[in-house]
Amino acid sequence: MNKKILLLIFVGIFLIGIVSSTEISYCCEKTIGGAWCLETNQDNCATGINPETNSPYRKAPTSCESTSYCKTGTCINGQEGTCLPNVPQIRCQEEGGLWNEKPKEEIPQCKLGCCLMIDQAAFVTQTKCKRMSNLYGLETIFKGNVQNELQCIALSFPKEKGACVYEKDYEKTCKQTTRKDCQDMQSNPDYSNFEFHEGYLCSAEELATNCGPSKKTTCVEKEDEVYFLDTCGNLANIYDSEKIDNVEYWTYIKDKDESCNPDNSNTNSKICGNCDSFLSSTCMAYKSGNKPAFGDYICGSLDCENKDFKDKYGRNPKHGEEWCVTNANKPENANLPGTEHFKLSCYDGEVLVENAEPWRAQVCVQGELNNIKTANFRINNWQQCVFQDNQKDCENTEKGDCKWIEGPKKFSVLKDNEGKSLAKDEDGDKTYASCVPKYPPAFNFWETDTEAVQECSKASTTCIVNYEKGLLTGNEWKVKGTKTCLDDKGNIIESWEESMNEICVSMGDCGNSLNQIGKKGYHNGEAVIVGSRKKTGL
Amino acid sequence: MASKYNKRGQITIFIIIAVVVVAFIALAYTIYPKIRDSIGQESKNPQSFISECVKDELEQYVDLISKQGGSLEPEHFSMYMGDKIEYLCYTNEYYKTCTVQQPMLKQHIERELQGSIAPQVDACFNSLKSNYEGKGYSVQIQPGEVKVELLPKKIIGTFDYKVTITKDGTETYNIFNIMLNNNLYELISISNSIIEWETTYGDVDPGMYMTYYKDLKVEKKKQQDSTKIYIVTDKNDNKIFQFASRSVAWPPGLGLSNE
Repeated sequence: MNKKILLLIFVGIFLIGIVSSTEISYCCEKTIGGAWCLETNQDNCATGINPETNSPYRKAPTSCESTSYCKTGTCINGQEGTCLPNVPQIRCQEEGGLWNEKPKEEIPQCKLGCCLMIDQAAFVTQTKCKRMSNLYGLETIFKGNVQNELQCIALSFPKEKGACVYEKDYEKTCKQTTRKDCQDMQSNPDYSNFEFHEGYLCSAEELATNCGPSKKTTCVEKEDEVYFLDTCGNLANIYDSEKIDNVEYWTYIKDKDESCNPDNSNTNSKICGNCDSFLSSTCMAYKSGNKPAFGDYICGSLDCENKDFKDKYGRNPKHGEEWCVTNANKPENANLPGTEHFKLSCYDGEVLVENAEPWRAQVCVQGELNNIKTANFRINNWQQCVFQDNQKDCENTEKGDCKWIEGPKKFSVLKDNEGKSLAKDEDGDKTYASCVPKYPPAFNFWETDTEAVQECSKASTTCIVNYEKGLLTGNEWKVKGTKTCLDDKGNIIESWEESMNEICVSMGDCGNSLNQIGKKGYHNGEAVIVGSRKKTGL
Repeated sequence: MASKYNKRGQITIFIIIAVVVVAFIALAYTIYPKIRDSIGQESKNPQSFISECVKDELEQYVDLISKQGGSLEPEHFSMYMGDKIEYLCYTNEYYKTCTVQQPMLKQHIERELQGSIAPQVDACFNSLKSNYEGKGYSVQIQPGEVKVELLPKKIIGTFDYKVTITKDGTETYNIFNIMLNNNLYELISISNSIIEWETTYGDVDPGMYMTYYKDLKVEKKKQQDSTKIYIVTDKNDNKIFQFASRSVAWPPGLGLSNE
């Protein structure tokens, strides 16, 4: 009777525990921490009055999507002509936006088109186009039938650039511009006798203006190339020292492809200014010892300097190049506790660092494209490893980032209720092996009640050793039967210990190991704990 | 004879000292505009008086707001390098994309700036009044609206104050403007694009922005709780806009015991 009562009390406490741990989640209009529209414990919901609505902050024991105030949709900024998805209704309306529950692709005001502004183009909404044109004092040209950004950019290429010739103070002069700009200039009463010569440079002899070729060069904002300037300060063609006296080169506008050495970065070239940031070069002032044949600008390098990269690959990283590193002091320590993955990238002479998601939830993977290193983070898919019972499935990258470890004797992470291995060899026979994460995940093992203990314990085992003593053993205790973990003399078999620990540390931040910089942790634990002997025989 | 030479010598020394003093004052007056301004305040018209008086304060608030994700006093923030950085997109859950917290960022920043400089604008008009009154003018000020607008490559402050100054004649000023050369408008546009990616896909590749916008540097600093601090820098003047986002966060382990 007493036993039954005790059992009931135990079950009761357990159930109370379950109920209290699954608290009902509330959708708070605002939390006490200041966040908007979160699903959380109701104690976290803000109380008080919302100054915008003049009513108390709302909360409801339901998901935010089911509420009127926190349902998310598209917020239309009517002033700027932008549309932002996944915005709670209350936030959009409070801030003066127009909220619509439909996705932005289905809202006419959010439909994108091509906005043309002189020689620039932007793939934006019609309202945004009007706004931008208004800000820059331009006529609105919006093409709603353009389907994507690339088509839009293609439309922006200046087809109507040329030499705008006019008279100023009885002198024939010229401005390198578009036909439209040239027409607009005609409203200036100080100028007269306008002519627009499409495709011509102001330095063209046949235009007979006061502008001519010069030896000056310049860089242009948002462009890579070094350009010649004419004597009036207009931009001419791309700098090419061999064309300094070429009449044709100073007469017609030439494309980048028609200019010197077009498929090359021309880095540090003293004679060609056809730079290309996609090939790691851009226009910049020359540095000492590298003066160009004319002018003060050359194609400078955008590459970076990085010693580790150079040591490893024999060169410095190029502009746009990305590569992976970890914070481990040696490559073999890359999976130890404390290890994080990083992506380094070189942009404009500077190496930028980006870290992966914490807990090794992401790993950095590196590739190569046209001899340029590329890197990116991807999810560390370790969760299903322990459930793979054969090597083929274990090493199938579609199933996870896992590795197959043979042995040790009589052990597998995947086991039945009686502790027997469920791992199979190629023939489907039982074997002793384990499928474990290739990149062990990190755990917050220093905190209590975490799953670290649970995950790590999958790789724990108890090795029971029988000893016997009798006349045959010289009246000394000796190991009896198969020796899984201890040798004849009762010492732990080193290979068994190492093998077990390898599985253990592969499960995550478990087992007996150093950290990523080769230092021991503060728990001075041993991987193998030897328990006490119990007499069981006669 | 000797005293005659002494007198001549003294006069020469006085002349030299006088020349040095005059030259020093002239130099200081030229090199340090603030000295010139404080002495020559009268020559300044009310427009430039107000503009100069408000400018420093506005610049300071713009810098602070840019560092703190668009808010002067961030309410829901992540600490990064000693700064409180407002979350512009946030979820407290694992694996889920974030919910936009500040959908009208530009207008929000404009309101923040308006509210912050309003007391200084008032103080500047009061200072203008006492300055002109000290010089014998009669000044009447009718306060009005303070507006700040972010525009491409500039920030415009418009103060709808009416100022009437009377001495021999009467002059009336109806509106005062201040302009800062600042690219916050552009940095916010990029930040909005990043927020759209964060709320849609949960992450952004900074390299994508740096490839297309040559003048931009975009940095992403991940924190231990999966918060990302984005720092958008204009390489031309090193002005920054930084904000926080938490989207598609990852738990330690399987995340069974931490959520």
